[in-house]
Amino acid sequence: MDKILTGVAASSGKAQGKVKIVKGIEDSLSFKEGYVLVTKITDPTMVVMMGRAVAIVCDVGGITSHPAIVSREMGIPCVVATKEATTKLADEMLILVDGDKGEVYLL
Amino acid sequence: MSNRELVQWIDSVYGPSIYELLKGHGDPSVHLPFNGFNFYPVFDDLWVDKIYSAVKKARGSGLSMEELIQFLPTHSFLKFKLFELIIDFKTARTDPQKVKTIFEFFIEAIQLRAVNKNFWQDNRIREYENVDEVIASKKLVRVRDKNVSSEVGKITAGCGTLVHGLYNDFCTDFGYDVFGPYDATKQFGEGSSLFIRQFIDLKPLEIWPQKKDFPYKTIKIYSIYRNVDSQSNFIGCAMVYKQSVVDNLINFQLEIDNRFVHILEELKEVREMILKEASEHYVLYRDLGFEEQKRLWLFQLSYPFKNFFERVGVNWQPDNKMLERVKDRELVDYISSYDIPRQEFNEKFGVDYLKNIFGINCKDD
Repeated sequence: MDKILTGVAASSGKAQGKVKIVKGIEDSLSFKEGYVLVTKITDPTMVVMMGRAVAIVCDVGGITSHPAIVSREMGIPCVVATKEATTKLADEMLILVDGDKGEVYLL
Repeated sequence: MSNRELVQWIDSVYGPSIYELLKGHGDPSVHLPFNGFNFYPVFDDLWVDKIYSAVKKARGSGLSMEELIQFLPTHSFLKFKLFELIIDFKTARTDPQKVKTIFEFFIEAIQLRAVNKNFWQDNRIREYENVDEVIASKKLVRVRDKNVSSEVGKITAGCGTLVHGLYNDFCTDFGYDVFGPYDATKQFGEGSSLFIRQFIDLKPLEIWPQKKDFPYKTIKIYSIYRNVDSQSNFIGCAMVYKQSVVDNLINFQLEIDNRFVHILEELKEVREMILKEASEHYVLYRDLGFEEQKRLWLFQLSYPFKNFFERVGVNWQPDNKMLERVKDRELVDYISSYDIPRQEFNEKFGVDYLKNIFGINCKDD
């Protein structure tokens, strides 16, 4: 298990799943239950996908930003401010998101 | 509070609280639909004058703060607007006496609602202090299925996201507030606490007439958690929980327009409706474009004060002068990073300006 990203721990818990890079609402149809939602920063149009995600990873954001607040309420792990999640990760990669430590591992 | 105490309070409580809040946000470029800190300087003098006029009328109305508070916006919103006004005072170079009048009015109102004198780091309000009464009147039910907790969490997140689009990133707190933790040990055992999430207006037709068919106006969620540590960051929705609020939910009740909803199938229906609406609404909001978003911002800012403005005889809607001021204007470059030295932060966010007013320009009481 290799640590691939470090960021800010925004919502506690650990979860693993396949990566889906999300750019906007247009990804909604292809976003399956159990994916890890990876994006620069979530926006409200992504909330349906966030409801299907097992975890969220963002390039930017802080502990009071949109992805952090939403993931805490949904009870799923979230790591923000990783700077390069959308460049280092790619669709279908299997990862583990550690929302307690703010770390992401490649499985 | 004397001026000396006030200056100390600004230094030791207010300044550090807003610093932590914004540091937690990361970067101002993530604000939606745009960075409001770079928009307010375009019309801040007009907004301060409007608030000043309403406050003066309220003070002269003979109404007590206990009466006025019924008309003022929600707790977190009032706190956040005071924070913004403090920046406005600085950027608009507001007359010190006006600053004092507005500041003292807001502080008095906020303090009247708050349980704790340190209301920047504690978002409990008196209204829900009687935990026995809340539990009995809201008929909280036990969580027997993890799916129920999950649905409650998604409904909360969906409502919070919908509000984000209805009111923009800087006025979200009107539509989304979180109160707690209230000690519920006596009722539910060691480590239990009550939180209330309040979405007071999910259908503001005065600013979004397109929403006339949306079925829900007000949603409140009453939750009992066991062993969830929380930290309040200035405003309710920025509450941070150290443990999962889904895994540790033990009792709850969802109240939609005075109707209780707690059956799994019903919760699923509500969740589907809310998430879909939140997502679609934001597409609508985003597609309005910059000019319309600026115009709408003035309404999103004013609407939460509607009841208060009307009670004291002020038109709640932005006037033509305000609308003209923002028309065809670009944002200014006032705040582009939160990662700045504390001294610069205090200067930019008006902390120093406020301190000087109370420390130097106004005589001690």
